[in-house]
Formats: sequence, C-alpha cells, structure tokens
Amino acid sequence: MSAMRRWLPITLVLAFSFPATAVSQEGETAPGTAAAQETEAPQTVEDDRSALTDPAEADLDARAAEVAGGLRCPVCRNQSILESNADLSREMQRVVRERLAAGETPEEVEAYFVSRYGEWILLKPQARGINLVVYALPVIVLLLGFLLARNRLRKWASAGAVETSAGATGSGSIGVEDEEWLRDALRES
Amino acid sequence: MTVTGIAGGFTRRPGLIRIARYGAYFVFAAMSTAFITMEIALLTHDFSVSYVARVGSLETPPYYTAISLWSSLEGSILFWGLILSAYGALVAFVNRKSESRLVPFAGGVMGFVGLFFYGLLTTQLNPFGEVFPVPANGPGPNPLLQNHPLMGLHPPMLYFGFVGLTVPFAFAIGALLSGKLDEEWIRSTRRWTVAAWAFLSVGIVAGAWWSYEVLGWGGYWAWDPVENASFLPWLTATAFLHSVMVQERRGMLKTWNLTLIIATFLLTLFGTFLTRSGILDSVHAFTEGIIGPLFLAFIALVMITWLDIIAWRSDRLHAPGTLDAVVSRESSFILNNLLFVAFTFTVLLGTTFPLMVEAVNGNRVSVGPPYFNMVSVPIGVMLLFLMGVGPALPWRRTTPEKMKKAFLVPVVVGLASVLLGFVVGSRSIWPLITFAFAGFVMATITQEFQKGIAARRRIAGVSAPVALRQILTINNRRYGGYVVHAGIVVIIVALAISGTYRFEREVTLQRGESMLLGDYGVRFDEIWAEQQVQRFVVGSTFTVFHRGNEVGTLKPSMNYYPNSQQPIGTPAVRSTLKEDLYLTLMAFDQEDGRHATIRAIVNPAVPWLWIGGMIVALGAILAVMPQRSSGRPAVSVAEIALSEEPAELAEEPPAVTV
Amino acid sequence: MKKKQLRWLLPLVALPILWLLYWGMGRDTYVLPSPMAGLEAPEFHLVGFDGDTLSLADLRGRVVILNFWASWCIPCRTEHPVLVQTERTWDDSEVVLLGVVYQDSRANAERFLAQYGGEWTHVLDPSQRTAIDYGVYGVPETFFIGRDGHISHKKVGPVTWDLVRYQVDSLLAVPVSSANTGSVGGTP
Repeated sequence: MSAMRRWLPITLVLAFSFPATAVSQEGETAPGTAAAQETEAPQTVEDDRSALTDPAEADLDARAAEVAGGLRCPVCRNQSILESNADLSREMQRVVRERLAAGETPEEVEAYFVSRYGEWILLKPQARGINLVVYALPVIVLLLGFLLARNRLRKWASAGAVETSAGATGSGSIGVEDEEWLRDALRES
Repeated sequence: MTVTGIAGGFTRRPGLIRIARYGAYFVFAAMSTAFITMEIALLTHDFSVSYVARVGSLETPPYYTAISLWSSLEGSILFWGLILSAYGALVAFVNRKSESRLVPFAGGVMGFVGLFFYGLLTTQLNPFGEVFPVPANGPGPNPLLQNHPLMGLHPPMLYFGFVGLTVPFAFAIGALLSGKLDEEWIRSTRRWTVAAWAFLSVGIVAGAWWSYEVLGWGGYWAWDPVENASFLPWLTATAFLHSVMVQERRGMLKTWNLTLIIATFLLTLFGTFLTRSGILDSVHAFTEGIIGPLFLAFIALVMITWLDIIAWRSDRLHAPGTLDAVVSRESSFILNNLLFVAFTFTVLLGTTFPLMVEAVNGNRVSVGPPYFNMVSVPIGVMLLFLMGVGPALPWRRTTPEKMKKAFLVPVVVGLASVLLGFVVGSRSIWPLITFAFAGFVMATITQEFQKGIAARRRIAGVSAPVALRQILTINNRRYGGYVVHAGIVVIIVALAISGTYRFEREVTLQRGESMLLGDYGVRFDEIWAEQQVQRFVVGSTFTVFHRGNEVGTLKPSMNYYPNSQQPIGTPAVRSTLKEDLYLTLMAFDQEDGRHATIRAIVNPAVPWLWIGGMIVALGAILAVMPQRSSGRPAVSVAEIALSEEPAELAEEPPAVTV
Repeated sequence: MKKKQLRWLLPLVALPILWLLYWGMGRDTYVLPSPMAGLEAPEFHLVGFDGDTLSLADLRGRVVILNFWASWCIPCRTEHPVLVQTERTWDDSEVVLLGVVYQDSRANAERFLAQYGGEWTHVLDPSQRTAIDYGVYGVPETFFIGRDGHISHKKVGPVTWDLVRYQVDSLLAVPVSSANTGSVGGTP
C-alpha cells in the first residue's frame, strides 16, 4: 500500500507525458502509418513499417539524425537530442525532421535552434570569431611542436654524428636487434 | 574519526626513515579500519552515520550497498584515501631495504598528498558524521550508480589508476628535491607506472562499457568532461611510458619526463576537481560546494611548487642530447610524445573552451562529440601509424636495406587490409586508412614476435611455443608492450568500424508489429511492469529475428527510482562477435501498453572494444610481472647470445599471418 | 640571475589557468543567457483550460508575462506567490499574465492551482512546440513581452517580485503609440 502511494507521483508523471506521445502519433504523416495500425500481430517477421523505409523517408531520417546528433539536449547534460529520450529532445527531433522535410537546409535548422536557445545548443561550435581558437590552436600546437622536434632531432643527430666519427665503433658485429635484445636481457636480470 | 592526524609521522624527513615507514603502515591500517567500519555501517544500515543516511537504503541490494561506498563524494574520497595509503604502505614495504635517497623523499611527497585527502576526510568531508534523530531509512544511492554490476569494477579501477600515478609523481618530485636526477626514479617506479596505467586503461574501458550498458544512448564514449578527465591523464601517462625508454637508454629528455609525470598527476587532480566542483556541465557532476576551492588550492600548490623546483633544478636538468640518426626508434618516441601531448592539449582545450569563451565574452558555447571526434580521428590515425613504425625501427640508426626488410611485409599486409576492407564494402576514407595502418601495425608486431622467437630458438634451442613463453617472461616488458599494442589496435579498429557503420531506426510499434533493421527483425510483444525492491520497472518484450530466424527476446526497460524524477532507461543488447543489436525503450503507451517506441541500433564491432580492453590488460599484466628468477638466468642467455654467430635475425622473410 | 628569474617566472605560467578555474567555480552552469531578449516573441496558438485557443496576437498592445511552469516543478511553487501578487497588482487590460503548462496535464495543473490559488489564464502546450519556439530549457521560465510584441527579458528560475515590478514598470513606460509599430507573430 505504501509502495503504491510512493509510486503514485510516478504514474502521474507517466500519465501526463502521454499526450505528447499521442500527438506525435497523429502528427506522423508517413504514408504507411494508417495501414500499419490496422495490421494485427503477424506471425512471420515482416516489416510492418516498411513504408517508413522508402528511400526518400530513409534519407530524411538520416539527415535528421545527422542534424539532431549535433544539437544539445537542453534538459540533459551533455547529450545530443538524438541520444536523449527526454520528452523535450524527442519533440525537438520531430521539429528537426519536419523542418528538413519542409525543405530547409541543415544549416537553416541549426540556425533556428541557435536563434531560440543560443549557440550553446550546438555541440560543435560555429567556426567563427573566438571559436576559431578551438579549431586553430590544436593545429598550431601540433605544427610548432613538429618544427621544434624536427630542429631538436636534427641538432641531436648532428651532435651524434660528430660523436660517432670521433671513434666509437658502434655496435660491433652483432646486429642492432640482437644488441638491443641483449641489453634488455642484461638490464632486467 | 580514526583517521585524525595520522599522516603526521609520514611526512618526516630522511633522518627518520624508519619512523616514516612505520607511519606509512600505520596510515594504511587506520584507513583500512575506517574503510571497513564504513562498509559495516553501510551493510548494517546504520543510519546514524551521515554517509549511510545519505546513500543507503533498506531496499538497495547488498551488492549495491557495498559499492555505494564510492557512489557519493565523502565515500569516494575515503576510498581514494584508502588506496593512497595502500600504495604508500606498499612503496614503503617494497623499498624497506633500499638505501636510495629517493625513497624517503618520495614517501614524504606521498604523505603530503595523503595529508590533503585525509585532511579533507577529517574536516570538510567527514563521512562518519552523526545524524540525529536517526532516520529509519535513506534515499539509496544515485540510481545510475545502482543500475549495473560494472559499477563495482569501473570506479575502483579508475581510482587505482589515478592514485597509482601518485607513485611515479612522488618519485619524480623526490628526484627533483634530492637532486638525484638520473634514471633511478624512473627505474624504481617503472612497474608502478605500468600497473597504474593498466588500472586506468581498464577503468576507462569498463567505464565505456558501463555507459554503453546503462545510459542507453547507444554509444560508449560521449566526450563528457568527466570522461575526458580520465582520458587526459591516460594520454600523458601513455606518453610518459614511451618517453622514459628514451631516457633510460640515452639519458635524454630528463626535464620532459619529469614534466610529463607531474602533468599527469596534475591532470588526475584536475579530473577530480572537474567531477566534484560542478565547474562544467557533465552527466556525472556531483556539484557539492566546498571541495572545489580546496581542490583548486591543492592544484595551485602542486603546480606552483612543480614549476618552481623545475626552475630551481634547471641547471642539473640540462642534458645535451645526441642522436645517431634522425630516423630511429628515439625519434619515433619523440614524435609519439608530440602527438600524445597535442592530443592531450586538444582534449583539454575542448573541455575547457566553454569556460574560456564565457570568461572572455560571456557567451555560452558547447564543445561536444562532433568536435572531439573530428580532432581525435586524425591524431589517432597518426599514432596508429607510429605504433607500426616505432617498434620496427631500431635504436640509434638504420639503413635503407634494413628499413626495407622491416617494412616490406607490414606494408603489404597494410595494403591487403585496405583491399579487404574495400571488398567487404567499406568506402569511407578514415576507416580505410585505419584498416591500412592496423594491418601494418599487426604485421610489425607479429614480425617482432617472430624475430624474438627465432632468436630464442637459435640461442636456447627450444621449440617455438617454449621460445614464445620464454621471451614473454624474460623480456616481458617489451613483449607485454606489444601485446598492449595489439589490444589498442583491436580497440581502434572497433572504434573505426562502430563509429562509421552503425545504423539505427526509431519506430513506434503496435503490439505484434515488427520492423526490420539490417539483418534483424524486431517484433513488439508486450509491455510489462514490475515492482522490485528498490525500483519500479516498466519493461517491454521484443522478439528478435536474425535473417528470419527467431533468435531470442530482448527486454529493454525504464526504471523508476524513488529519488529520481526522470526514469533511467536500461537498454537490452544482443551481442555477437560481429555486432550488437541494441534496443532502447524510448516511450510506451501508458494506458494499456498497446504501443511502444523503440530505438534499435546495429552497432558493429562493439564487443571488440571490450575484447581489446582485455588484451590491453593482459599485456599490461605481462609487462609488470616480476622477472622470473627460476630457470636459466637471463645473463647466461645473454652470454650465449654473444657467443652465437652474429647472424642477421630476419634472414627469411617471415610468413605473416594476421 | 637567470635561475632566480626562472623561479619567479615559471610559476607565473600557472596563474591564468588557476584564475580561469577559480572564476569558473563562481558561476552557475544552469543559467544560460537567452538569445531572445530584444527579439520579437514567437507567435503561438494554444488551447486554454476552457477550450478556447489563445494567440499572442490577441494580446497585442498589452504587456505580456509568459510563464512556463508545471505542477511537478518545485521552484514553481516558490515563485507562485509572486505571480499571484503580479496578477493582483495590474489590470488585465494593461498587463496579462499567461501561464503555459509545460510537460504536465491539465488535471494536475488545476489541482495545483486549486491548492495554491491564482486566477490568471493558463494554456496547454502538449506538443512542447511553443516551449521549443521560446527556447525553454526547464521550468520555471518567464518571458516579459512588451506591447510591441518584443521580448524584453527572460528569467530562468523563479521570478522575484522586484524583477517582475521592474520589468513590467519599464515596459509600461514605453508609450502605446510606439508599441504598435512592431508586428506580432512570425513563427517560422
């Protein structure tokens, strides 16, 4: 009994999140929906939703997923609306799909969400203004590091060349691999 | 309570080494007592203890009650303290006969770090506070943390890794303080570092696995700030494991190695800071006030001290480097370090970039998976390439003929892998490059093993399997390392495949309806509900068909916990070596369960991530295993090697099997 | 000497990083600036408890306080008395307080209102499209909309009486004539 009471709020939550689902059901204008709803439990595996997979729809789905994957879920932390099962995310996913279906480009859809939620909604910052730093800096660091390493290596190599020519006979007659293996063996004993 | 003021004896300086050593044992004993006391309090539901009152509940199953010790802040710091004290005692014990000047310094540094954690525990974060009146029950741990048994593995592994990195850090600081800046600090911590690194790796993979099995979003790595926080020290520790080899052999890169390990330690602190201070949005953020500033102060102290002593010792650190040739094992390690550090920098930049932007102009931006994936793929591929080149390059110098010999087969195998990928149907550029390099690396690793086995057979005249066992035990560090490499290659290939070729579909099904996804058919059978002890589960049953044959049922569910408003979804996964079928229940008909919305994902190659993780762990275990003293001593082996005809090892092109 | 300088200069490198982290702790990651202040408020057509559809256009010429809320939301309870006071303070012909029920059922909302009072109009947003159009993260969120249909301010979290009074007073101070120039509407 007490457990029942404890779960009551939850059932209520469930109850009122229901309308959203219902609306979306009606809102779905995919041609196969009505037919599919009439079907009764098929015995074999057939795709009752195959109408949804006609190439154009599949393409739209793919594009919608692409856009949704780059939009941040406002009510979760650090998830895209594609991955989140929060009601709001799911509705936003529908918005994405509808806007794409209406002929908007992915950029326009993103711009719509940015206009409402701010740049925060984009999981990948727009490459302009200060955001360029986050794109350019890694490349710069890598290049500078590479140049530095190259100069160092060259310097060291020329130092080493002098040393070698000054008389070290090198590793003698055994192969380099042998020598290395031997060293390891000696050290670790 | 028991912990109070114990660390004191630990921090004494060199003259009091013995006292310090017993201090370390004592701290460990005290921390163990505290830990056991807390476990008992949790398991007996003693709600008069503040921590138990906060994370315990009578309904939580015993397993989750036991592991709820690290489900919240105080408990996790207690656990941290326990591990740190265990490492401290172990270091003291292992080095009890050591005459080295380093050990007392290192012990002192560890004690100092410990002081911070024990200080936190006894003041701000005392988990043993008294609660009055004693509550009859508690809310239970965070639902996400009592949803999967992997929670018993993933956090402890990470902690063992994080805390274990304190050991090389302490020795590095010890080296700086004592001025004993040769390779000793590296040698004496080598196995500690590898072990900590292995724990960290396993912890990260287990975390990815947990995330995949629990969070229900269909992926395993979200580049969440807290995930990044565990990844950053892993990157620098990996760089360190490689660069120390250069110092061991050539005496170069002294400052660099010190910097790397200290940076690694700082990044572990930084990671903890990120999790506990609520500074960045994260799924994992605990957001609990006071500890943030304290951690920051500690980070500041470590950072400033480090930079100061590096400057203080700068004259002794100067070691002129010499190389025999630009193309050599040494330079491949240096390049490896460059890439790892650039990787670390990029992940760190991406993680903190929102903070920087906000500090500069007040805007809020997000840096998420699309960014991180974009930057990490090229760096990862370059590292993969080096992984193949490095081990095949000899130390010091090489000749074009040797290069040709070493790389001919790997290059062929690499090209064959691309072809194979292409034939199987891969058309995307990055996966194909990944396949090429993966084949290349696997071939060089196989060649290395073959060379080792061949040399061993010639020297000792044993059969191939015996030779394999012998090289693995005699030169375990090197061949263990190759096994780790192989595991990493498996992981990278699995990442490339699952990242590129997953596909998914979200559909609302009426009862009895089915849908197709790739080779799979999924039929929605029913919605059911079940009141379990600690939660209320709404589940769904789906029958799964593979190529028309019924292969089982999957039951993704949503779990409702009393202390959480949002339901916690539990996905259902059907794994095969080829791919996973991953079902998440997204929504369902709440009135009579007539329809359900599911997200079905076909995730190829994902199981290989976990397999790769296990291979990495195996390799790391090999690499840290103590040298086997029984059998023929290694020295005599070496002598035999010397007496052998100096034959070129790779006489016959090895038949490579991938 | 050089070494001495280094001992001072090297640690300085740490300062900007430490400062950034210190600064970062001081802020609330939950509060996000809205890009919508100053923009035209998106149009909506939502059904009220009485079954009538209400649009923003119907309210043109009046100051609108649009309050997204839900009965399950705890901060909404905190701010409720402020809203009750708001409703009492200004005449409906000047200032309209409009509640948008977010992710909640009408029955729950009515039960909440019966318990806590309040006579102003509420509309339901079952599809959450209006919430998305307004860039709502979570409840409560409150938008202050001028007579010209432009959003002057968005408050995330419970409103305070001072904020409401300041916002409404400044919106009322804008002369009616200039307010009619802006057109209301524009849901894309």
